[in-house]
Amino acid sequence: MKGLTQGQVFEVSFWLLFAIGAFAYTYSFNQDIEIYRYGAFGWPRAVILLIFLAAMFQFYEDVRFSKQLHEIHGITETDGDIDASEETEVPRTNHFRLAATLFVPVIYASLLELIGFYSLTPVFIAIFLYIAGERRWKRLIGVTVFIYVFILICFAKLLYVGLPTGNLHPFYDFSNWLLVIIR
Amino acid sequence: MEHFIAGSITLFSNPTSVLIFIAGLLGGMVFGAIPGVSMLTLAAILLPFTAQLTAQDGIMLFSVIYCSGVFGGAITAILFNIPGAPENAPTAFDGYPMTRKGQAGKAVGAAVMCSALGGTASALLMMVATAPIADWAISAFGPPEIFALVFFGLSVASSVGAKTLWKGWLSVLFGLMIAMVGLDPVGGVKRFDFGVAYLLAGIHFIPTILGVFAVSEVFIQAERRATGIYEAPKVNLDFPTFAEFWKLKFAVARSVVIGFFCGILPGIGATLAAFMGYSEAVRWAKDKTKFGKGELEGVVSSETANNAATGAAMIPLLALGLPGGALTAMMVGVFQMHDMEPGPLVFINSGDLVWVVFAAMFYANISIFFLGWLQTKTVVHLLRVPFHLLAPAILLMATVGAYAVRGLVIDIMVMFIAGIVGFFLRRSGYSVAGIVLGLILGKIGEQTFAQAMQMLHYELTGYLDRPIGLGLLIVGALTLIINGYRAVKGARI
Repeated sequence: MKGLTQGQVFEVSFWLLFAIGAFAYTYSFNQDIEIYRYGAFGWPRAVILLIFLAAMFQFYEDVRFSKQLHEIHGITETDGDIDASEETEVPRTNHFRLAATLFVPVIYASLLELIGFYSLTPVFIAIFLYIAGERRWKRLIGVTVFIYVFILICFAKLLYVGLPTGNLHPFYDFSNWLLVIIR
Repeated sequence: MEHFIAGSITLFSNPTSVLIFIAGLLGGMVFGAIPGVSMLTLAAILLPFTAQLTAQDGIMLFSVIYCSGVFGGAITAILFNIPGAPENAPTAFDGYPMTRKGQAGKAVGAAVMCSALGGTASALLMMVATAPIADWAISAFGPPEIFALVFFGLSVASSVGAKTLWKGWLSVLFGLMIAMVGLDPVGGVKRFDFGVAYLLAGIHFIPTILGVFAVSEVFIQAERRATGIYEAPKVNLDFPTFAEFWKLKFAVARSVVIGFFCGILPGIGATLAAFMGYSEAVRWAKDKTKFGKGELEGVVSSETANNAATGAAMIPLLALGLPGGALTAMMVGVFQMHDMEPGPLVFINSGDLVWVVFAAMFYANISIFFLGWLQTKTVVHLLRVPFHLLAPAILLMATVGAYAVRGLVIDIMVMFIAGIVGFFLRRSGYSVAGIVLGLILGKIGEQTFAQAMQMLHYELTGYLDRPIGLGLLIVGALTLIINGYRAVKGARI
């Protein structure tokens, strides 16, 4: 196990736990089906077994590869597509920026039902542009308005795609008012 | 030949028919490029209005939308890694890396040429061979053969796009797991729903595809900006040269055959055609590692195959009355609105209509070449826009696309979660192509496996009487064994 990175250990652990958890869950639907011998659980269990085997083979390959590297060069493998060399310290603000990039859309999606697409989207666009590094206020506002109007014209006016209007009182009214104006 | 000429004259001598042809061509191309919305939305919107048209114009409109819609999604797949529809997903595997390398014009140009070529070849084959091929395909291909085809496709898919064979397999198997969420296809038993009503209908593949492709790509580019290693793609408007195409003549021919064959099978269609075309390109390549990194043959194979499926999809519809997919199912509706039934009698009772449709599909595919050339010279300039300004637009188009499928906000959440999962999997060397293929083929595979086992009375030796299925199973198994042996024996250094 010498020479394996944390990422590799995490990966194999994830897959093994995933396979074990999924296999245990198949017992909740392991009833037989009269017309089909393998039931509802046959196919899932076969796939889960293959996941387990593939994870073990991947682990074997990681161990063998790190042994080879260690024997030849006396070094261990680094992880990921992006160079994560330990000598280069990634600034904390960049980690924060990345985390914000990943989770702001999730927060946006979770608020859509309440606030609605028409009210929430310009805020989302502006925040996302800011996180992406746009600091020129005129450009930030200009691009926000441009993208918002473009999406409204394309989808709300031309294609009549129904989008969430929101459940909360002022946002619902605003959405309907805007739709009347657009259409 | 005289039937084709008569059909062409009928088509172009009527100004209304010409206008409908142009509208279908442009509409299909535009809608096909919008992820989640796609040509199916356009077809569904137009379906009620076809009652006002003649049967000939109505069917012709839908067939033209099919041809141009399948092509339309290739542009966004190549430029932004957002496939317009599932059949354009394999195009993104190599098309988008080509864009990153500054070869967007070449990739889009190849997609244009090959879509036109594949569709035209398919239209010609369709005109010549509809009746005999329909009879053979329907009698020779049943669930055992379709399962064998899915098995073969998955065995090749595991070797595409991942850092190692085992990660490729894990990607495909993960996709198969996602496909299992919901009700099982045989007994309707709830599986992996965790008591959540939304999951009973399964995780829809459109939000998942949008997530693992478009959304994860935005996140990856955002990470590159955050770590200071982001590089804007160079904009290049070069069309592929004749020499480059000539080198790929076998790939094109092979993909036409694959696409046509997949298109004939009811329920399979352009999506499997595109994945099989791409998978075969990888399998036949001397150097498989170049795929997934911007290999022109990947784009060519995928786009040729998915357009080659369009003409073939008309064969079971017109000859047997069996729709090959969602769009051809809507075409059955158009027939019924005009008191007609698709099937063998259509050739006898409405031969003129059939030949107008054949001619329209032929000219639609030729038109893709010219319109696509225009698109190559114009749409590629979108790449000049800084990515951080395009990113919110991409996320919003994906949001609308995910919502438009079923009108559920939770599909948008699924899309963003799929984007986060796709982001981490891609960083770790897994293949989103494998996940998507596992997801799409998982349901078909399990259903046909169950049907096959019932037909063969649970004895695999039953495949000995089914040479096509047996052949596919053997080739798939050999692919797995050889790849596995190489992976176990080989070293990375």
